[in-house]
Amino acid sequence: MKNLSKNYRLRRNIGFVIIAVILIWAIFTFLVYPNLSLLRITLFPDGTFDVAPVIQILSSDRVLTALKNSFILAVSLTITVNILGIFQIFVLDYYEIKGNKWLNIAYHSPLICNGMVLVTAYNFIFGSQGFLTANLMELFPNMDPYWFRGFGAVLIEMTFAGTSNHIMFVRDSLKNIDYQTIEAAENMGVKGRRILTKVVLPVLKPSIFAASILTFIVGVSAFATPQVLGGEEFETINPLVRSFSRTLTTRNYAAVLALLLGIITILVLVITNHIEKKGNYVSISKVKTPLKKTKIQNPVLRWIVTVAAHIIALIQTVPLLFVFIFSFMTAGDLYAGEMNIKNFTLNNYLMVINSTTGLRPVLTSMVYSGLSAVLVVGFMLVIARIITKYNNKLTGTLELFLQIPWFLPVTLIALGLIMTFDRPNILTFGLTLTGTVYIMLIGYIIIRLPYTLRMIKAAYAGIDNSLEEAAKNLGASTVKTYIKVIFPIIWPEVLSVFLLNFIQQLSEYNVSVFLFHPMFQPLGVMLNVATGADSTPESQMMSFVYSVIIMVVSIVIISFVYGRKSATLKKRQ
Amino acid sequence: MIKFNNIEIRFGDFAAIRDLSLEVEEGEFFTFLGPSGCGKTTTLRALVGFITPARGTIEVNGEDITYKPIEKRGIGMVFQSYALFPTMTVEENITFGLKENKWEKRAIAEQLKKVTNMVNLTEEQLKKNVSALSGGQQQRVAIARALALNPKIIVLDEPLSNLDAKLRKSLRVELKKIQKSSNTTMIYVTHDQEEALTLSDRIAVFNNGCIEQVGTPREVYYSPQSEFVTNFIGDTNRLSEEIIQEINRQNPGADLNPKDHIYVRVENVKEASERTPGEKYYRIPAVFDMEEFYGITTRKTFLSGRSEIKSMSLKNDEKLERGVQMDLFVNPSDFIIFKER
Repeated sequence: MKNLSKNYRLRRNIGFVIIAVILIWAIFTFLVYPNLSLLRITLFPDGTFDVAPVIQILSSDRVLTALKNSFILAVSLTITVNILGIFQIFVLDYYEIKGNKWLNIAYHSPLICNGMVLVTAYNFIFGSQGFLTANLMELFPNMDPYWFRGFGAVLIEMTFAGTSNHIMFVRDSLKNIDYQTIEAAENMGVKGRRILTKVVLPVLKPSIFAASILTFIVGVSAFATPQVLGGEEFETINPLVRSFSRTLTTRNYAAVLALLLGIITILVLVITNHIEKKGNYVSISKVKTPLKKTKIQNPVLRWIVTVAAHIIALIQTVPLLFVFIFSFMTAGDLYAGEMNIKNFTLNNYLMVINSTTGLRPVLTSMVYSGLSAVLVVGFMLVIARIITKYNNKLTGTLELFLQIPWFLPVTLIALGLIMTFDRPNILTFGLTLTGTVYIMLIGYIIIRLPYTLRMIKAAYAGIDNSLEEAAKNLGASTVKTYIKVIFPIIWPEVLSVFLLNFIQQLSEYNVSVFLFHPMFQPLGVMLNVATGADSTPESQMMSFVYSVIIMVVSIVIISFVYGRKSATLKKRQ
Repeated sequence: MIKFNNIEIRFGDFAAIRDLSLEVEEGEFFTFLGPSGCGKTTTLRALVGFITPARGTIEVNGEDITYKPIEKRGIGMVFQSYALFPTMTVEENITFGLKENKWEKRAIAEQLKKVTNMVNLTEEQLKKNVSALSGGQQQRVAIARALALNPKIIVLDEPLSNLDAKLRKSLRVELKKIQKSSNTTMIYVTHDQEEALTLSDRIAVFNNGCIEQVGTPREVYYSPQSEFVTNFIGDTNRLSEEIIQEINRQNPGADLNPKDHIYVRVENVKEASERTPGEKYYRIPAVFDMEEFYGITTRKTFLSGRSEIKSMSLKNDEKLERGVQMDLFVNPSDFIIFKER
């Protein structure tokens, strides 16, 4: 009997060793080695230890200014996004505000127009050749056409684009507050604002803190927005990394800067993690009561909050509406700042559909996003299963490695990949990856690892262990148990993660701009090209069509994912 | 017959089960009873195969199954959370094991009919998703699923703990009937002494990773072999030194050692009118403190000096005033005595 059991264990162990070897290879090759390689290129440029390039770059005024700008942007953005995000979630779920349905849709807009789409929209509305600027110039001929440029413009755009963490995570924490705790406070004579500050906000503190960290990282590693809206007077680190990486002679400067950015991000995470550990709140409620909305008693305050809520909703949605309208306009009307419905045309759409060059970016992004979403979800289904099933030091380390893309700037990851795999490498079986169609796919997979792992791990954690035991007790093998019992339970969550990964990558720019194959430019890169001074009218008009495609796909997917989630919630209630 | 031979189960440095030996007869309804964390579920899981003992062996009908894979042990299990597969219908849940064990379609249909009849599930319910059923119905599905593979042994891990009191009682009766009609050996884990006493042929009382006593419900109730069993099963008073000295003072021949641990069950503490004629009783002067009214019975708390003593009686028509003087009577033959160590 013991022998039979040993054979069974041996077979399982062989399978485990094969998976472990593949995992160790993949993690080392694509997550660890490129960053170590970047470190080597930076500190050992000619094979010997040399800090000269580091000192040289740190003594550059341009670099120091960019560093300062990145830091100022990150701090300012953390403050503004928190103010806006917290206001939005309170308007949606805590206070009774008229027009809640419309506000709910409007406040979800950062989810459907992430990255390049909103930057493009702002550029073509407020930029020097923008629609609004053209109209303002008619009224005020002496005004500066570059009025919407620099720190202010970057901060505004990134603030309105940056509330997605609040809408997704902080809002969940607010909704999960046990209403009985508020009733208990009321019962003890506490009222209105005191309940908010003493009962509600302290519970939200951990999620606000987490959202703040993410916002800070987004700010410090901002790329597309400062590149398009920052102008010469507001240069940040990542655009500088990009411009240094373009030529071979300055590539190691780019590496130094990217590493510096990485160090700053890690430092912030270490400090915040330390602070975060001091206070965390877990609901101890046995029977939770759903949150009920509160009416703002002061009529003047209520009116001010309502008006502010709707103005914010308009600010978040009007640029998207403009992009939609621009996609039907002619280039002439756009530059002249004229919106003539009679001239509306489908030519821009036909230009995209009927030409190979027009359609290729759409197909490229669809294929890369789809493939990377499938692969990353597939890998994480296996890895998250191992991590949740075997909770030990080894799986803890594995999880830590998979979090690397979360605490390293994407530019650093991208730069690490192109500078490491630009020659045949033993780890890639003698293949050169830089310049091939594969490297962007690898980059896309890497940057979605932490999110996917977190979500799928949570899905596995939600499964009652006894289900698996019951299946085994009834004679099902481990594989059958997984296919017939475990996977059908987590399937809805897996599908959601796949779809959300897909739309996140659809307009991806930060990694794409370093790794794309010249024959297959993705949508994010095409949108950025359209914002350049040397872009053609055709590419600009097509960029609106691309934006509309991205928005439509995102709206459909988000409605599907969140619509289903809220339907499930209602069903449970 | 199931035999646990000197089982030891460890979780790291912690020994959850220490040198446990036990025999369960074929066709018995056997209960593992004990407080939370005493090791009853751990022992059950070792029998099913979810845990491998660090030492000792487990035998079923003479075969050593200690290292046998779970699916080959032929032991059905009903889980505390029911563990019904939420993505499947009632029918799919019940037939899951049959399909996995490659039963023929006709045999599956016949078995499905048989077990659903046993647990009183309707045809209509079979087509429903398990999440659409009530707690009691879900429990029936869990039992049917465990019965489907015709196991010789079925283990049940606190299967009624998530149900309301009334449903628990009615399912308890059904469970006993199912066990008898299916002629299976059932091992039932519970911390509820009432469940254990009403259902079981025999009970093993667990405490701190060991078995304190194995016996029929009457044996463990009337002849507890340890103070733990005395306290855990039934409702008991431990007579204080003060009360024992008072008994000795009033009855010079009693000769009770005040240092001994002397217990008397609450139902054996009588008021004057409840005494059996001809029996010898010791009188305990007391003052009425409070009562708990249960409908059929009333549990009263008295104070004798500074010591508390409780009684339980069917007599519940008169409401006593707090502070009323009253004499209580205890029969020395009802004493459960543990000598001073």
